[in-house]
Amino acid sequence: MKKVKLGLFLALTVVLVAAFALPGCAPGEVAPPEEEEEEEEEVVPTGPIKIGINLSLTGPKAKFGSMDRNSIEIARAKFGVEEIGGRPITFVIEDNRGDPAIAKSAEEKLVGVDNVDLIMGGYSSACGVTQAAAANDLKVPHLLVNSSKDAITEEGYEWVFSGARVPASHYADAMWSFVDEVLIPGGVKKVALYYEMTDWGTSSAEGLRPGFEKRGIELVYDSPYDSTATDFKPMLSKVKAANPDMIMAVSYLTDAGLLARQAAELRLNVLAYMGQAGGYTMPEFLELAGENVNYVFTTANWSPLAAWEGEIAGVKWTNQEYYDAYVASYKAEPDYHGAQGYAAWQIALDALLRVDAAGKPINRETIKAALEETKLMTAMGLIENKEWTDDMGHHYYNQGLPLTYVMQWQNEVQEVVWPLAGKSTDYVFPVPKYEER
Amino acid sequence: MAEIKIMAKKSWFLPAILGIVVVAIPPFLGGYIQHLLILMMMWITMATAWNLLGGYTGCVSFGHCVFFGLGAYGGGLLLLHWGISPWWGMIAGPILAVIIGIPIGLICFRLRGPYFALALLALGEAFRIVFTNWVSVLGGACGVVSSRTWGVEKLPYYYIALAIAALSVYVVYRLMHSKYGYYFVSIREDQDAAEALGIPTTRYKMYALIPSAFFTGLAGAVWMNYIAYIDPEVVFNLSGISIMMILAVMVGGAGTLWGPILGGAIFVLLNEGIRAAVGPISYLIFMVIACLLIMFLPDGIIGDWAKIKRAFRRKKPAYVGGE
Amino acid sequence: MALFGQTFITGILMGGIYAIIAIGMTLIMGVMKIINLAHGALMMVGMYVCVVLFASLGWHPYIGMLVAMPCLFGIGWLLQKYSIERVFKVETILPESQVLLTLALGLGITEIIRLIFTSDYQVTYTPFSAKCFYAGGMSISAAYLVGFILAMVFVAALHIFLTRTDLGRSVIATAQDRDAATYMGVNAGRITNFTFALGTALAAAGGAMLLPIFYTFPDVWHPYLAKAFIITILGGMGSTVGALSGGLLLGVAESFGATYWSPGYRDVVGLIIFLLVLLFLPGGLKKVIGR
Repeated sequence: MKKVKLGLFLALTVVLVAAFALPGCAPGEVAPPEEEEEEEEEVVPTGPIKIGINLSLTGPKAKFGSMDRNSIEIARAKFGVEEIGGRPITFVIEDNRGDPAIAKSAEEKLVGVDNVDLIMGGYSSACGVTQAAAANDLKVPHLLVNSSKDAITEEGYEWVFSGARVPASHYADAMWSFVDEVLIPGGVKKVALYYEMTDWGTSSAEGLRPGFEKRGIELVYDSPYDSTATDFKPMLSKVKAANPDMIMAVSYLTDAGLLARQAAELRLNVLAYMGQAGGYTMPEFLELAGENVNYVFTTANWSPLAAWEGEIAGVKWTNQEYYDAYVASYKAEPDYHGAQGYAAWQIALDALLRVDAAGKPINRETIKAALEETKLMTAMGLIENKEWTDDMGHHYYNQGLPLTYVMQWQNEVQEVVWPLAGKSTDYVFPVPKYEER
Repeated sequence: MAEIKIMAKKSWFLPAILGIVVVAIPPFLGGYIQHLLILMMMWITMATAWNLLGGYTGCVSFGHCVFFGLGAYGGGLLLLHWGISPWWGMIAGPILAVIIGIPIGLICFRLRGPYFALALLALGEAFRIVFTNWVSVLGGACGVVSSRTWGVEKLPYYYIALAIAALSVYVVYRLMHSKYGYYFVSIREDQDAAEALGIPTTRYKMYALIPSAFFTGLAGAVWMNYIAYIDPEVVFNLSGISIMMILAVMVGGAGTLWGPILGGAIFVLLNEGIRAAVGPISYLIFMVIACLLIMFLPDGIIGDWAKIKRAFRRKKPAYVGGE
Repeated sequence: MALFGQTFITGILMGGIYAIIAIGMTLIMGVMKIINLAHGALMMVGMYVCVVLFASLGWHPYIGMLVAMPCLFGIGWLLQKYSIERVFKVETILPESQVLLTLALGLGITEIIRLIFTSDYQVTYTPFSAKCFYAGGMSISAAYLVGFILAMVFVAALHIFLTRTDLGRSVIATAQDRDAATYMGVNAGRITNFTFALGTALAAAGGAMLLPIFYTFPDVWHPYLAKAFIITILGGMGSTVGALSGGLLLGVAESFGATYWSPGYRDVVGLIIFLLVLLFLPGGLKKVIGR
């Protein structure tokens, strides 16, 4: 029948066209183009040093992906290194829309079609997982930016490096000493824990729960919630009825804003409201919650006030400078996601320079070797990529441990309040009741 | 009206060429292309499976992600709870999808048209929420991560996906060229008349649902093994999986055998191609194309092939004399 | 006791807002007999109109609503006339093409908005939004209360419009029996256009009421679309009273589900109700109420 024939013909054409006409029909793994004369036994690659960037630039998570990309651009402009050893540095940017399958496709394309030497990327944990797995299979060094899922560096991928990212279970590191030295003596015995129900919230909660239990604190409320909900009053009423001394919350931005507002409306008075980074440290939290941000504690792994500074490629940098540059260029404040992006480029550049300084050609293996040796001061503090086990039983590879702090919103500005050594102002505990503000 | 296509003896030639192409060429292609081909095979399987229930039998389901997700979680849960390799999920997943699909069908088949579609949509969302919340049994939002069996080698995955796609097309073909096929189409065209003629419609709808659920689940199991990461947001996804499945079929042509194949292939190519070329507005372009297609070629490319031919023919001037 | 009361009150107030969002969809469904899956996206566009007015002129969303509604009326009219109607007339294998088209349109509109405004969250937070009334250990947010009252006003106005005016009665007639209405001299095509546009305008109103207590971003509408068609089916197609009672019922059920079961399962409550109604109460509450 004609229709079948034509259908077959069409399908055939499509497959053939797909097979041969799509850009970059490069077979398998391409070895870098060999030079005419062999230099010793090493193949010296020529052509630009390509850095792949795989972020969620559109879609619901676009804000963070863009922040990462902007920060990387600021870092690149700041350190001004445009070529190394005669090879220009080029960025190839891919947008994965926050979808793990597309993230994998993008990773494949960057490696197979664009032939990049290094990939930086990963905001959401789901994308981080698929990107890391793909990079490891394809044997390309991958530097994580934000993805906080612990499992990514527990898998033993030798090509995946944590860089400036912090594993979710460690976001609260500084908080524990604060809990031990200030909150428990201050009378905190019962804690209400609520967390948004996707990976971010659940992984964080898994890290937090044992910490509370170990200290003999009773979790009077422990529940996930839907971050897209309009109305948290039912949940907050139940929390109020359970009479906690402290609230521990893991939220994204909009739910953080609504929770802060609605807790104030319900007059849910506690001695301390501790938010785990995420939405609570973002500048937009202030817009969403107004004056209700005051006195909210947050665990944080970066602050514009942190006095990190150093020198890379002969250019001195400070953390504060990054913050100012971001605000000047983009008319918005960055938060720790952006700082991780900035630090990612610092780490990558440092690795590239070290390879070049050792007289080796810059390719995937040498970059990987260099990243294994990284020990660099960045906008997120000292970054190393090592193998170690933490006291929760996580065994990490290529993972460092950036410093964390506790911050508190006071007068609608975030201040570092703990550890005392790095504080910018004193903490306020217990926090005043809503009626008295 | 859908024609049941009877393959004329002499058109074995083109399918043979096609067969040779898809089997023999891929080893020579780059990793990225192979990746796209694997995705294409998965989507072809899903589109064909959906088409059996939706295009041929007329039960449009907006919630096929249920079967996809169950297929993926079949393997995922085995790994999560008992450390069994997700490859066993290739059996467990589809079976799980069918086991859950039967009661779903029994309950929902009394609904007609858009109500059935919405009921399945609601089920898809319900499954997503339940899988996200029920952490102890179903793994929750963290999903399941597995390690990939063949590392960088994609060919084994490709051939498996290809075999599954071919199998699904074959099964649908055989079903449609049998008594079942006639019954399915009659249910689609006029369910009441079919009942009046004595066809037990619910039972035959079930006969359409079971292979549909099975193959969608099988595609899900392939996903689990290839992408090596699943979570409820990804596999029980309304707009990403359920709706896209339908659009792929609509683009190609619902109620045809080659429609879903063409649709699945176009879908993957279009998505990747546009995204690579245009970046931020890729999704928008895809939606615009989908809208235009639905408005002007509602039966899909294969289904409205006659219309396309006519459009082209109109442009040719009338012959006067010879060439 | 306060917990119960708080849960109930918040449920009712939220339910009123759900109702106004759903009432547009039920009208459209009554006349066109298709589920308009672009309803959510159009509500979102209404919210963005209010956001723009708030950001540039400082108008509170309740005032911005007066501009958003005519805007969305126009957009709805155009969409219906030039896109959806086309598909309506064509004989296809799958009658659900229309539903799919509305969905594709909705997703496309979302992307356009995303292109213009990016995915950033937009808030219209005013001191008024923070006002709260306290009574008997429960707190009632002023914004919720005003939203609810406005929603009730709209529902009442719509009801009067439908039952007391000629145009309204034409709408009901077309919904009940298109052909008979045509024989009676009603221009069914025009009425369909009008109803779609009206439904869209009401969606915009619902969005404007939601904005002060919530926020908006291009994908905000997904859960609300689901709630809208749950309420449409729950209340019975084309019934305003049904939509109202369905909305209130859903709001309260969700609230109780969130409090007494688990906040994470909040949306499942609505879905379960939906499935139960689909299976056991096909005509919706309309049948039960008897209208």
